[in-house]
Amino acid sequence: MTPTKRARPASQSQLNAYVESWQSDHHDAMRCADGEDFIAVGLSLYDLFRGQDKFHREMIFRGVSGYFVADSVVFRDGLTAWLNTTQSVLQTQIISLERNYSVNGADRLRECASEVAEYLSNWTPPTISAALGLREFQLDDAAAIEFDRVMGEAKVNPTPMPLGPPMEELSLADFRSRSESK
Amino acid sequence: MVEEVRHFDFGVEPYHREMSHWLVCEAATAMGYGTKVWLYGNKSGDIIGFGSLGESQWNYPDKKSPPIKVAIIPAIGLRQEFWGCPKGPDASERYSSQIMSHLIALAPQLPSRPSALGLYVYPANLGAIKLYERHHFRRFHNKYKREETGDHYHGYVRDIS
Repeated sequence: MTPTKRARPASQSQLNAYVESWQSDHHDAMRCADGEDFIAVGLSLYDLFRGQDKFHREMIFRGVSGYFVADSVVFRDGLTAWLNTTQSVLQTQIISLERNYSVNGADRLRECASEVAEYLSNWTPPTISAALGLREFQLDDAAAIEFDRVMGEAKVNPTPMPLGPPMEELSLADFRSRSESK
Repeated sequence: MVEEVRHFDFGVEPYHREMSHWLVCEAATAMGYGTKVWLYGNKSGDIIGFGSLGESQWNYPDKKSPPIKVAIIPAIGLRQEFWGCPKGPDASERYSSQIMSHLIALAPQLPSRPSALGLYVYPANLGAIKLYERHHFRRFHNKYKREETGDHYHGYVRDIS
């Protein structure tokens, strides 16, 4: 298997618009409606960047994409720019609005900013899965024929599935508390 | 969970230690991509081992054939002190068999509703191979070379439809 596909970084243009809108219109953002519009854009950019970053990481984890430093830099820089702008506006304009208004989405944006700050401070490069099974696999001709044979034989002589009652599932905390009570 | 399992000993061979490493270092990441991980406990309150179940895709050489969605056991481990336990004549009662049965029973319920369950095993891990074959896994011509170490692993698969 050779990783050939490269992850496509997020569009920079929406992020630029987000950063610039704050820089040029910060007086207008004092108005609550504009503040809420800013938050909505910030939240949707958060979803976009985090989703793309997760996808990028998963493709590398599964061996579909190779790891290219430049791609990861794009994602990190994008998230950093988003975070800087978001924190700046939250700490000035949004706090100011919240003295007089209930601002929709502000708490959620704070949660997202906090999550991104933690993610960036603990950032590690994406890596391929150590578990071979979780990597996507390209069967060669012999493997494809044998796979079809094994599965075809099971159609004729069905492979027995396990019998018996399912195991009881507990959270680790419940398992511990049950063990301690014995 | 990591602190709970960090000291667990799944055996001394490198392929045993790979399981410890996976559980401590990668299980959480894999869970973020849909892999499920269970710790298994006995009636005495000991955690005896772990199992995991994920999904992957195998691609046919013929690009026109749709890829195969497969269930995967990425990693599985039984703490060394529980190997061969509980004692008794019935191998199906062993903890290792109970863990395998649990994973096999749940595999068809994964989101892609896979009809095959696969895993990779290091060829020298004869104890594990015996266990997998007892659970109707069949080796097929699917060797995977781990580029990082140069080691070859053998692919095993079974029907779960």
